[in-house]
Amino acid sequence: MNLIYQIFPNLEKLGPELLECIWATVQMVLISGFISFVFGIFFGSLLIVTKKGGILECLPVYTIIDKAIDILRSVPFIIMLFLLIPLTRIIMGTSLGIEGALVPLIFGTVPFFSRQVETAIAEVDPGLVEASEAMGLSPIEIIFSVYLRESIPGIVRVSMITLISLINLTTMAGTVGAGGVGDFAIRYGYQLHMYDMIWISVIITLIMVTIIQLIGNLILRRTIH
Amino acid sequence: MIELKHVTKTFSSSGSSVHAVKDVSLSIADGEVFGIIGFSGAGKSTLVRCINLLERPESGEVLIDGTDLTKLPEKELREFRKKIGMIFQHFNLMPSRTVYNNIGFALRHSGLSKEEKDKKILSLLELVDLQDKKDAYPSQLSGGQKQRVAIARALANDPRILLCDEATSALDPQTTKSILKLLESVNKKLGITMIIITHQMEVVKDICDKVAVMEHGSVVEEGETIEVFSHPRKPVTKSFIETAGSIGKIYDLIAEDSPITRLAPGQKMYLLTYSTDTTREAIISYVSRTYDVDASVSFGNVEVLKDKPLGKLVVIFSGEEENIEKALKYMQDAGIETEELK
Repeated sequence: MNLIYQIFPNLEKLGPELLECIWATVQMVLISGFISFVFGIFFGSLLIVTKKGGILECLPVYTIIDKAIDILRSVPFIIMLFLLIPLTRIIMGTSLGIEGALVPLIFGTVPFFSRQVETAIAEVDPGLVEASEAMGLSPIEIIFSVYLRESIPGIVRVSMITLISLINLTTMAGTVGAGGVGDFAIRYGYQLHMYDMIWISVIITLIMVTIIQLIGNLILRRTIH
Repeated sequence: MIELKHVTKTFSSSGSSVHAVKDVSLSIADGEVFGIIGFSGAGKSTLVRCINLLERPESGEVLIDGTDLTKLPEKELREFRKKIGMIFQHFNLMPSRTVYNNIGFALRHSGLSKEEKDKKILSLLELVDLQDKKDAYPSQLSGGQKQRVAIARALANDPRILLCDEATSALDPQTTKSILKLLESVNKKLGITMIIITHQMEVVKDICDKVAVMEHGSVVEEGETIEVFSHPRKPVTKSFIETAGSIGKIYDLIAEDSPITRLAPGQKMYLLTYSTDTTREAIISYVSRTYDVDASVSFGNVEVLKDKPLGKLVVIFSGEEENIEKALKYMQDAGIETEELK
């Protein structure tokens, strides 16, 4: 422990606060990650089945989602954070803290993730869908047991990428007072010139990313045959 | 009984429309092995998809035992499809599922208990001779094994019809033979009606009772396999026969003026085509003796079409012109087709 305090002299004093910030980041990533996952899978599948030639072809639905994704993806997250304040107030009752950060985090992640899910599902061999239709499966069954089931490895891969980019987004959430590791690094490392606190933030982020990748690879190894 | 009545399907892409299937009417009896042969782009894959309505024809009727599938609501159509098995050129097995689960996948709505399903899957695996590959994943199987699994899957719901879309086109000749054998035995054992789409003459030749030849979306010739191929009427049918044996080469050789096609004065070269009924008689030696002509066989090919021989011989006759005429007349009367080559 002494050795660590020698390398990171400010840690002794700021340790408890850093732990709080890590917890805030973990909360933001897990909650908004989970909700974004559900929405992303939903919109990604919807894009695949409603597009031209899809099993539930419906071009108006496809075009609306497609355009909405493009528009939302082009808004920089830091701007989205402020742009969504009125909506966040309506949904969460506050625009501050972790609660205030969740809505923009989800809005920042879902379009990106939906697009990635769409790409992952598009990899599924159209022949499998044709075979399933020939077997008399309904569109809903095809979505779950062919499209989603057969693209699990692809979805795991894009989920890893999305989760990591979500960690990236949470560092900006400090601007609405949500705390988190990024906010910690800016406040102490940058504004108070505690360089060791920037380094420890980087190391902690690195550990989080590594854990995500380890879990992802473990799932991949079990699902690819 | 499958009846297609005036089935038409067009695909339109950016303004231009392509007639994939043009006013096709066919009727296929129960238990029959029916081949549909054509070069790529002839519309045969689209036609077979019109039978289980994977492609919905714009006009025409698709009657299976009297039920017009084009008039069924979605849900009933899905139910009906379970009675129509289908296999594909690229097998279309689910890569994330084992062989056992791929077959089980087809049984999800069968209403069978877990034990019954297990029994059913094992008996299907036995039928296609793959008991030992039960827990393998598709990626661990060879092409032929994958197609066997696909056949087992297609048979899971005890269909009365099996659609085979280029089922052997991705396989090597030996594996093709073994898959055709399997299909033939399935047809015999279970009495399933089979519709076989292919561009391979050997497939039709080996197992099809009847055949329809397709070109540019239309059926141009149709009938008993031996009939169609012993008396081809359309160029496309002839070109398929040429792909099957070496006999088509003779036209190239004549065009190139190859030494074996050069004739001495008084000699004539003919292509003789004969089938079942005439093969047993010693026709060549008979005409040779009776009409005093020499007949030398310079090229020959005998195909076996579903157990019936179809022979093609290139014969050079020498002798008096009058005698050759008589000999030819005799052979024509005996049911042999003669075509003067040179």
